[in-house]
Amino acid sequence: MRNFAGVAIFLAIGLVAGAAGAPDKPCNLIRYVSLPVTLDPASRPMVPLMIDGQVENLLVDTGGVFSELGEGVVAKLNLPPKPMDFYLEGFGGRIDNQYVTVPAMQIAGQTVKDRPFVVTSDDSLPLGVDGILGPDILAVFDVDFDFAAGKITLFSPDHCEGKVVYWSSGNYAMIPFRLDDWRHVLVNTTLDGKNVRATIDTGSYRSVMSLEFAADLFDLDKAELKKETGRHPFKTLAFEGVTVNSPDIMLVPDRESRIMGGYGEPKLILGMGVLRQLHLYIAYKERNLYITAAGAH
Amino acid sequence: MRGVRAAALLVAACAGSALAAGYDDFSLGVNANNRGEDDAAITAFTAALADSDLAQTYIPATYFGRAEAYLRKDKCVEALGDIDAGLKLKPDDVEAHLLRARAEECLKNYDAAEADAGAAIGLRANHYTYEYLARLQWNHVRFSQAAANFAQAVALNKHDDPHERYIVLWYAMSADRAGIFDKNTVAGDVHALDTDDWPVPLLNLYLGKEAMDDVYHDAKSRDAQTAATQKCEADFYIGEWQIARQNLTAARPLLELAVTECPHYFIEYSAAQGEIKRQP
Repeated sequence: MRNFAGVAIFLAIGLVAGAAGAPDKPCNLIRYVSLPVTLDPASRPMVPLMIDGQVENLLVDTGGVFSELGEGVVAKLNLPPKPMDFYLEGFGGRIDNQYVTVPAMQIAGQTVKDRPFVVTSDDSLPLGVDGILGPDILAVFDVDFDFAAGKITLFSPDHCEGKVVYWSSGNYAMIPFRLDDWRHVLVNTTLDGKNVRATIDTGSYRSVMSLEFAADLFDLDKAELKKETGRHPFKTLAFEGVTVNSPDIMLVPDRESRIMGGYGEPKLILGMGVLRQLHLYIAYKERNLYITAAGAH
Repeated sequence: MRGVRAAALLVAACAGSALAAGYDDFSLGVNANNRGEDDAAITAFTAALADSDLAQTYIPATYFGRAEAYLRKDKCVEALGDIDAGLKLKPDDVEAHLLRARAEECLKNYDAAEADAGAAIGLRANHYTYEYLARLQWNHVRFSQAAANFAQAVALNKHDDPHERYIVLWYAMSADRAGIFDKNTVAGDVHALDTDDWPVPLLNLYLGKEAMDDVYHDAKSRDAQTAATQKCEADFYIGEWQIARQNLTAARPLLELAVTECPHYFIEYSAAQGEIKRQP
């Protein structure tokens, strides 16, 4: 059982909201920094961040919980791990129960002091990935995922509502979302005409849905789905004006996913297979998601 | 609920936009690779590389993605060319060095394949990269080197998960085939696992603590699906155990059973296939 007693320090310490000061023209977007995107072996986005004077490549994971550093980086930076009052259980039962305090992290033109990061095993990270940039840090900003241009930009969250889509003069969709306790972005979607609550997860290389939930919702044969390794030819995924044709969604038994079955939400994780086709701007503070096609100008 | 400012955007999974053709082709290639659609992936990545507007940071991934698709089609030379092109741009990509090892293996350049895996270890020494090199060496019948690298993988894997047990098993099996099996070392590794769960009964066979029939009994004492996969694993590992004891007559039907019974994505399936090919 998780003990969440110590979680608050991860959410409260070292955030940079407002660090750049109040904007002169509050309706204008204030760009803090654009970070070049490289890809991990599963084609998920990584950005370089300066951690205690060293550039480290962090996977940008809107579906994560806390920002993390691999134990190799922690050793290289000579940061002493400390026990957490809670633990995180990862895929396959892996346990993370230590954290480090990074004396100085540079992000968005600011130096954040004494920022805690969960320590995770290097083996749990993809090769070439030094850590994870999770929603505990991302949600301080507006985060603009311009996958086509290969950059992620952090903006000030303080701007006039709706004054966001700077990259395109064409159509865009503005989708209200809900944040859960872990700052996951939850949106209402319509999958082949059925309502499904989904989370936006840049840390997932494919989109994944609960096999049992899908079988019940669409009256599908569970045994056949398992034989066909979870493939089902969905026709459309729509969320408030944006329609993705032939979305690639893998159906995974709850017993294997361990995160979609039995309780709570979401039943659908929208991963990079769908997201990389979009230009996404997550206005965390405003609770709106702005979307165009990836290459829209 | 707030309204949608402009509706009816359509993002067609199969249609590119003229506004970022390179990226759209790249995106199609990645998704095709994820679905195992090799020809579609090659076509899309080729188009992405031909487009002038693909972000520079994606070019290595485009080469590596096309190389993966080529490898699945056994187009080893084309794959190697792409991996080399990608590595010129991103020489510290660990996964790409392992991909090049696969391409060299595909071309039967075994020394080069092991050198690439060694380069990956140089960039990131962990249980995964050591295990990768050890498996190559096992395939190349270099059992003592394989045992040494499986031992490194065992030492570096600090996680209590089922995979750890298999690394210990492969270490024991490699050492057994190399004639350097040390009971105390393997017993210590098994003790550290702190479990009797599968595949520990197979390790107990290697340690002389369990008979073959008992191992099969353990393999089958689960639900039907698990029992079936454990049985196929038992066939492979016991087949290897028999080979190490020069009992080829007993080994061959077990390896053939493993090929028949094991899911094709199991390591035991391809390893049994390779072993059968090596046997007279």
